Amino acid sequence: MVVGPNGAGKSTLLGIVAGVIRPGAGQVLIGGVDIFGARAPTVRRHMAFLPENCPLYNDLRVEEHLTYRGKLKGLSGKRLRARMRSVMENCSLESFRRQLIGRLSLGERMRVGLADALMTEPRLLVLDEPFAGLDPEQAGHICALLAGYGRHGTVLLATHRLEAAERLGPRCSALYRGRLAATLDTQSAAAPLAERLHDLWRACAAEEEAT
Amino acid sequence: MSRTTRIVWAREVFAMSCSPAVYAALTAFYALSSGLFFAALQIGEGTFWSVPALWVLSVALPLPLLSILVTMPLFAGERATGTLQQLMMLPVPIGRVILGKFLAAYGVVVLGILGAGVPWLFLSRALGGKLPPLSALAPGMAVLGLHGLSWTALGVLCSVPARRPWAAAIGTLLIGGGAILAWAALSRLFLSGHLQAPAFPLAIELLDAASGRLALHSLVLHLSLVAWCLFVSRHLLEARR
Repeated sequence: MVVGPNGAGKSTLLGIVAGVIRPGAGQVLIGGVDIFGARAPTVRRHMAFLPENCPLYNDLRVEEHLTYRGKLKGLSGKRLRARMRSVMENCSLESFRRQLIGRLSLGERMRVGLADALMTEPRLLVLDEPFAGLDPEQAGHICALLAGYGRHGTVLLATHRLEAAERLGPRCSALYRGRLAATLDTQSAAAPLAERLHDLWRACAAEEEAT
Repeated sequence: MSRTTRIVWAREVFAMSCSPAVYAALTAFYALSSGLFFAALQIGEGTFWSVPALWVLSVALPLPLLSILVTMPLFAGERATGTLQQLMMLPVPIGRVILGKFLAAYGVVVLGILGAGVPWLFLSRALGGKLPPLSALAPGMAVLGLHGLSWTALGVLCSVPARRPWAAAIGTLLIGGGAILAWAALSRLFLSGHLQAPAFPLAIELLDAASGRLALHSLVLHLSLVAWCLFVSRHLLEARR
């Protein structure tokens, strides 16, 4: 889990991990394989990335979009149909499977993007603000889905929703202006996460002013 | 055709069949080519220009416009909506994705060339068989097909680095038009003493085809250009992956 104020570098970090943004220095190793190296396609087969703006094909219907993306990911026949049924059910998409994506609300788009990311059951799921635009009920549903998914694979997500961070994992990394400011225990009884983060941002800002 | 190419091709064909911009581009192309043809018939009557030559030139002039309008959103449109990034994340050979999109766009261009033969049929019926049959246009259509192939490949190439579709369109027009004018200028500059040196080789190629002469070097020239454009497009995309 990655948290941080706006401009902290959460999306950039996730983009680098997903292999979308090339880092100025250093390497990203996933399972010992460099994400920008010659064997990158092997790693990409086992990972999925959902950016914050959730780009989708607006001229396609929900099921057409998932079929197209599923086919490009190597699924076909019975397996494709089975995965489509599963992700549509998990992301509550059955009621608008025939709707044009361009006419969906932001929350519905996010669920379609998540369904797309889950199509191949990736071992690493990278999600940038997956709760953006979702109402509390939808966010709770997605949160439960990700909590369940986290038992089978790794989920790396950036979020502003601290209640989701508390629910999804025991630790979160706090970024501030491109640096790792701290790694926090989300379920600590000492003080609520929001309060501890507030103190951390104040300390970071004060340290920055002093230097 | 590989599986990836087929999937991308089918997606693009579907997108184009639903796109008002493609229908508008085809309508504009038909209107321009028919208008030019009938105007050329009026002006060219009694001159040395044959009717098939007038038809071929009338279709060749607006053909780049059709290719540009069809190819400009292929990659630039996906980049503008953010779906290109999602496409690049997938473990698919990027060359096959490019080929799928290219073939879909070329399909529309071929449809445009074949449809441009319709005014000929009307005219032929109106003149009661005074015109040569439609089959007389086949060599001209073949060379127009080669021109369309080159313009489509150039359009794909310009669509790859462009951030917006209109930038891809301007790029294609400038590079394609610039290359033709540069070729003509160089011919005049360095080969002016040679009678056989054509100022506009592409126009000569079209006129030859209109009179039934097809040259192998045309095929080689256009196929080389297409291969080069697709090769560079693939490398540009791979470099950004």
